Amino acid sequence: MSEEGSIDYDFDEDEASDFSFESDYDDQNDNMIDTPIESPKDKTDISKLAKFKKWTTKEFINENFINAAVKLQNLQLPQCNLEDLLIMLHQLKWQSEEVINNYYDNYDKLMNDCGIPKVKNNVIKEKLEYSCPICCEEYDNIKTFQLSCGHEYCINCYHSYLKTQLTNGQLIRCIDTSCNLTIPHLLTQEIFDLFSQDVRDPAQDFFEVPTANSKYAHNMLLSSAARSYINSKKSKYKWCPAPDCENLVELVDNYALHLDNDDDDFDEYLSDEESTLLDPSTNNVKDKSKSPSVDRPIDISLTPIVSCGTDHQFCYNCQYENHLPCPCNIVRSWIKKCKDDSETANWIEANTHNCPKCLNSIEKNGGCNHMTCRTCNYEFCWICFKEWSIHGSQFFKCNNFDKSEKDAIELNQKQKRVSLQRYLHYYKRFAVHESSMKGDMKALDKINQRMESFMSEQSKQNLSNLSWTDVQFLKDAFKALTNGRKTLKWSYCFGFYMKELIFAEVFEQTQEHLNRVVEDLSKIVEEINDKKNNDRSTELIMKNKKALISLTNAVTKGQQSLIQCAESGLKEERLKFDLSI
Amino acid sequence: MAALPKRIIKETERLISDPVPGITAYPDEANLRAFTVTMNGPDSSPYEKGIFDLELYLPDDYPMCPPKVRFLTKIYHPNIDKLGRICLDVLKDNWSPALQIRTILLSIQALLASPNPDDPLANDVADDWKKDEPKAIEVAKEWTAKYAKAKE
Ligand SMILES: [Zn+2]
Ligand SMILES: [Zn+2]
Ligand SMILES: [Zn+2]
Ligand SMILES: [Zn+2]
Ligand SMILES: [Zn+2]
Ligand SMILES: [Zn+2]
Repeated sequence: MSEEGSIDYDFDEDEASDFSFESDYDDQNDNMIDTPIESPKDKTDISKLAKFKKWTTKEFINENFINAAVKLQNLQLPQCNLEDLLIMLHQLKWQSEEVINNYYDNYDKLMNDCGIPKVKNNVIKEKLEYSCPICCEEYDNIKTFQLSCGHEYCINCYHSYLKTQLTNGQLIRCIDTSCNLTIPHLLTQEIFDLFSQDVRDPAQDFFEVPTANSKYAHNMLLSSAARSYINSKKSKYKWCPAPDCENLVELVDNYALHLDNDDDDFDEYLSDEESTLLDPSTNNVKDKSKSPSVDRPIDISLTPIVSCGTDHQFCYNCQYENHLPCPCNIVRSWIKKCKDDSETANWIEANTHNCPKCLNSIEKNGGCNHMTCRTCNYEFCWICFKEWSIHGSQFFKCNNFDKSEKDAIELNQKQKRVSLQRYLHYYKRFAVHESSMKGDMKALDKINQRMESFMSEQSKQNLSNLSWTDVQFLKDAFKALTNGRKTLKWSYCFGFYMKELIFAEVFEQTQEHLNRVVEDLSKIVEEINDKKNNDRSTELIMKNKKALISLTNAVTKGQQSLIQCAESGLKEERLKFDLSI
Repeated sequence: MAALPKRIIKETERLISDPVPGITAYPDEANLRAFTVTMNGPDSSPYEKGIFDLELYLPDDYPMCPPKVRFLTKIYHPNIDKLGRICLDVLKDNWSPALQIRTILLSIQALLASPNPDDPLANDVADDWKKDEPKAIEVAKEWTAKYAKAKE
């Protein structure tokens, strides 16, 4: 096994301590942290607080598990083979120091705890006749498995056994209860592979020079070990909350970052924080050590927004998507409120799918909220259901909860009804942007695919020399639109809790502007994707290139200024929250 | 219902033909994965002379996962709670498919002979046990006489 001395790192070792991971489809990002605000001020602000590192699960396993074993073999314990070192590390919770100490101080105990025998004889046998003591089946022609102890069981039983054992992330031992022997990591995978349906792409294996890391590339036991290791260190590691994303972010260095709920005691935190904020007048009486930030103005630039290796931004504190301009505590209140009021939200869902003019039902496919009814051609806004043409005028506000409307309601109805109305107003806008985001993503995905096939066709026929950088603007548009929508979405949560101070109008105007450019960008994307334009979509893309680029910039700028408006407003206390709403 | 695995058939046959001393276990006619169990309290324990009813169920993934066992008779024991649930390592993390129904039942009987108040499930009982063991043993005896009577 000594050939394993030559290691082929999956990524450059020199850069491993910094950010050198290539994300799947995005440009390399050498920033430690990726805030949506591009101003350098904010980056330094965050890096003053903490330093983060991005990992994919695979990179995490490579570096912390496999490379740790390789390093031990190369430096301190060259007499051990890699499999045994992995078992020792696994047993001692991946602490290399502990392995070295135990190896020299108490070798026999370590080997015994790890279930590593002096002589190894692990075999998968083919048997013509076998009766298994676990399942009690009498087989003719079956594979069996045994470790060096000779406790033999049929391969079906071993496979089911491994599957159930995989959940706890620990080393897996011989089935026999009095036997402590460990099944080595590679063998567990070998048994899984015997039952696996999907055959791996041979081309991929052909190009891959077998290395320590590639041999363990799909090891399910190591993945399960990684999961339980990471979950046991909740303040140090956070999984990316984006659906289907298996990336994580590590808090490498914490200078001054204040994390709220390391212990997952979310509700307790919430009630504590809420009660302090609910009644600011009691601040002076309250124990200040408990909530040190209450007296100071809120500074949202301190929100620990990080991004995973595939560029999903999220808040390290809440482990929730990038929720700027809202501070973390507002997000918590909002999420709780939405949970409590989910029935009302369902009502909206069920009742807002008809054209305001002809009342025909309307299906919303894309993300754009500038709607045109297919039956009567009426153009309207999906959010406020008013005519689209008036949206451009100076006096119209789609985002503002009409005060005269509110006054009228107040005269006639109970206070409770107003607050529900008010909540619905903001919730609807919040929810619409959330679902529009999904629509936008679908549309942009399609465009991207079309563009890629178009380009490969072109280069095959030597028709044009479009390069990837020529269509970078599409990816930029994708990113700007998604991020813009997210900020917009959370700005309605912000709006819901915002006190009616004079500066609030400035916030709302900035919000309206972002709303406008986001919808314009979304509209172009939707038009390019329209079935009618199927055969000339690439032509449309290139034709709209200029408009797309300028709108992308406008959205990014609009997003930045909305967050900055909130940031400075809160800092200077021209914007304030009212959590008693 | 899917066919009963050979393993369960074999174990059931042996439980009936070669029963564990002081324990009976019969499968329900309607569901062969569900067993009605009686267990005699071990001699020279506070549960001596008591006859305890238990239910035992073999989940779908048995023997990869342990059987589910519960006392039906009320019992005063630091590792058994009000609902009859049992705190026993082999019923949880230390389960192995190499163990059997009979080994599990024997382990439960052994738990009655030597209660372990340092790994409690019923906290109040465990506290009583640690504070005043002779008194706790008296209560366990009373409960045994009161609830764990043989049926006519
Ligand atoms: Zn078997
Ligand atoms: Zn063994
Ligand atoms: Zn992610
Ligand atoms: Zn947060
Ligand atoms: Zn219409
Ligand atoms: Zn509108």
